[in-house]
Amino acid sequence: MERILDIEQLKKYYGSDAGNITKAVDGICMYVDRGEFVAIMGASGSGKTTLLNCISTIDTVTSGHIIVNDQDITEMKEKDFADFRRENLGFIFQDFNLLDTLTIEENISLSLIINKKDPADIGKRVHVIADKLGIGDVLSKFPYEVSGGQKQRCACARALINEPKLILADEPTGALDSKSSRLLLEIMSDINKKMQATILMVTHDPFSASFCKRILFLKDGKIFNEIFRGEKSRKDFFNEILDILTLLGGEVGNVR
Amino acid sequence: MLGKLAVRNTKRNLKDYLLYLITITISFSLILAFNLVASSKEVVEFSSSMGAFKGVLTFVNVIIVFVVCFLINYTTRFMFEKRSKEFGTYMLLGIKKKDIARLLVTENILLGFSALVLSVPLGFLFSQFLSLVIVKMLVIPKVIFISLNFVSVGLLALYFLAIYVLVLLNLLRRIRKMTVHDFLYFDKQNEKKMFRSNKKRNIIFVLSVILGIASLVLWHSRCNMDKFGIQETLTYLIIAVIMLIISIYGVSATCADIMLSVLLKSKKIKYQKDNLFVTRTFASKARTMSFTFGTLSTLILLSLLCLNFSSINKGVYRTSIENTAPYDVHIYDSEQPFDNFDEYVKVIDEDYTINEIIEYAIYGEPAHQIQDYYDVEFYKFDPVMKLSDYNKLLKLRNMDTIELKDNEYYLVTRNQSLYKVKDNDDIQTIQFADKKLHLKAIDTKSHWNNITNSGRFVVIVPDKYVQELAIYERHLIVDTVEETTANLRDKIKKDMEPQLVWIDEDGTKHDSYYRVSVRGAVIEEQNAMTAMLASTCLYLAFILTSAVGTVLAVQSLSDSMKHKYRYLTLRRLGVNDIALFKTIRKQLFVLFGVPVVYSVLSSFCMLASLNNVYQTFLQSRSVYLLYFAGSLAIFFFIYGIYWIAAYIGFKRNINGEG
Repeated sequence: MERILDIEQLKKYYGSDAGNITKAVDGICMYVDRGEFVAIMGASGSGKTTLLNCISTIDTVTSGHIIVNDQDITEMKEKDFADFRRENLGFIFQDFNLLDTLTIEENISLSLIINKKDPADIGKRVHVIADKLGIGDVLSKFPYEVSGGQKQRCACARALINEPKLILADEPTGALDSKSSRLLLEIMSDINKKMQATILMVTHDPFSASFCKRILFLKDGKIFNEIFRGEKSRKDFFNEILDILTLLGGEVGNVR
Repeated sequence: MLGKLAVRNTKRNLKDYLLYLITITISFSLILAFNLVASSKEVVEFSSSMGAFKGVLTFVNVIIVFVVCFLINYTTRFMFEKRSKEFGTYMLLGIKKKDIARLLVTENILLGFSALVLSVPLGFLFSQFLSLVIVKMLVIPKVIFISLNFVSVGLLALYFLAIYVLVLLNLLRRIRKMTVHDFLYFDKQNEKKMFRSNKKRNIIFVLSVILGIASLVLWHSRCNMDKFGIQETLTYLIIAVIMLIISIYGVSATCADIMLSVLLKSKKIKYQKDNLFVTRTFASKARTMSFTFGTLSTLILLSLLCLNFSSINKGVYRTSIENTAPYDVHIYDSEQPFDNFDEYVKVIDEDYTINEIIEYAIYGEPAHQIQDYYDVEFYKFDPVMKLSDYNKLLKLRNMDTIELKDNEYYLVTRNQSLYKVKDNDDIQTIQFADKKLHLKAIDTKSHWNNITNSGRFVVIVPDKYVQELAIYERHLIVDTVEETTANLRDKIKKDMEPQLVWIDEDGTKHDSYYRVSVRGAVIEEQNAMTAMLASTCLYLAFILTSAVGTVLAVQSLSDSMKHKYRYLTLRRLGVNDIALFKTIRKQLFVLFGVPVVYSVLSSFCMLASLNNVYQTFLQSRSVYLLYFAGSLAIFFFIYGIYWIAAYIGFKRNINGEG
């Protein structure tokens, strides 16, 4: 299996005073293989978003290595980040981050345009992916004219269209109602299966996480547990997640 | 695509920053209008003082360019910060910082350029209006069309370029320093508290207030007849202004915080009505823009000073004419052999009906007992006039004549020099030939600048005492039935050239046109100067005030979008619309009001001190209060427009969808 992401002993500390250091990420080792759909779960402040920000080159690391597609991004120069992100990463945010001056179609096509793809090809690809995600009929609308679910599917399409090596999703269902959430997650699960897209999703919602194949639990900046869906039904997996979360709420010592 | 993005963003910004765009468009148009008028041949030919006006205008333009630069820089930075998340998204999509910078520069140039393009026809229109005002003031029966010249447009383009190069360089420097994380999380950054310890803050506040008072005391100490004329005074006044500006910055940086702690300490005030909400909102604003508040207050101070200067200038207009040319025609000669005045009379007689002719002589009293208190280094004698001549002059101006006993003399002096002789015991009695003469009275009303060429006073004595004295000057006063015009002065200059112009041994031409003064010409010149100065001051004040209004309005409008939830929460807590809008009004009132308070107070103190010098030229001692009130009215009118625009926009934003 091809390894897309490999994290070795990643640490991210905030604060400079000796006595006042926040260990947001404290020595995490993990990996993501090609075609995986992985969730990172944890309570607020467990270091989920910081970990994601480090992987997406938004944040710098204190120590450790992050290897994405055989490139160590902790050794990379800042000026190369833009190219790296463009070629390797796709993003889905909780609050969509769509550009409100562009239509849905233009938002999706943006990264292709930046990559200087053939203009004739761009339109075709946008329509294909939009139809797949069920937003084909709102392409000419502006973000403020469509629903939250449609916005997030647009963000999803934007992240997908470039066929990035890794899609990073930060609480993608956080701002959606349950129906839109379910639709989005089914779509994400679908593209993971059919298009072999590799997705790393941060969430604190067990329902969202139950769509994934593997879940990592974070607590106080460390990996606390890891579970695989395997052949389990989504419902069983959901219950398993709930069990772990119950444990997470208690002391670590109680679990071992 | 980036180009398309830039155009769309500009379009969107156009809506958000309409007020800002209007302000810079008007600013650019006014710069152009004034340059067009100043470079128009027809206007320059009106009066000899237009040359000086051009110099003043250049200076004013430099100030304006700085202010507009501040405004554009501030708004650009502000827009940039507001949209930082959007730029973060661009970066995540893989757009390089370099390209984002290019996008921003394109957007800004598009915005600025649309203002520049609009300002050319608008400025052209303004210049016609301005020329109309000048023509009206000068009572010229023709209309002057100001033509569009390319030097002025080029100059405006140059100013525009200079402003934008500065602003954009500053912006690029900022972008270079920011990382994608900074962009994405910019709006989540906590506001920094400027002063960690309250003690330090209080000390700075107290020191600033003391510095402010000291600067006003220094200003006041130089504003009297005694010291105002001295050269060092200007240096002291500049030092006072600099001290005041430093004090304004100090007070602006600390006052919001102090206000907050005072209000929060008292539970009674804190929980009364919407005080808590309004103060907290204001303090959060003021803490992050304390430096900007200082700049705004300084701009308001300058604007008020400009408006007051304009009023004073208009106020001294009448006095100034009376001081320069109280009679229709006045010609003098102070070098022997004296000109034959009959030739001048003949020239005047050709076009005018002569009502009366007065000739008088200025004699020199060699003991210079009074000149000792004036300019004895230049004139080693006291200028003396016969009582009968003086009475003739008084009669012509419809003033009451005077009588002198044999042992009395009368002193006529400039108002500004009165302090030199007033209550001076040494001149109560002077020795005149072998006689002792007592000072009957001192008069300032009948004095005018050219009453004598030998100092700033004249001694009036009974006719018999001058017989022994040498004549130093001869004067001719002509009163005409018709009102004189500037043409008469030109005619005298031309026809009497042999007397007024001479060529020295080196072949250099010299003229003594200053010996001729024609009331009509002086009035015309004074009119032009007053019109020009008043409009320039208004122009400067307008731009300063608009800059302040724009910054505050843009700030509050963006806040209304950013902190919409605050008002939504208030609504959900059961605040009805009437009360909510009242809170908003109160909040805007505080935001717009705080930078004004200190400036209004200090400009009033400065004006009151200046009145000590100017009151002699003005109608009365307290007329300056009226001027001050007028200036405030003009200021608050312009400022109020911005306040209302901010309020309407605020309401629209918190009522809007999304």
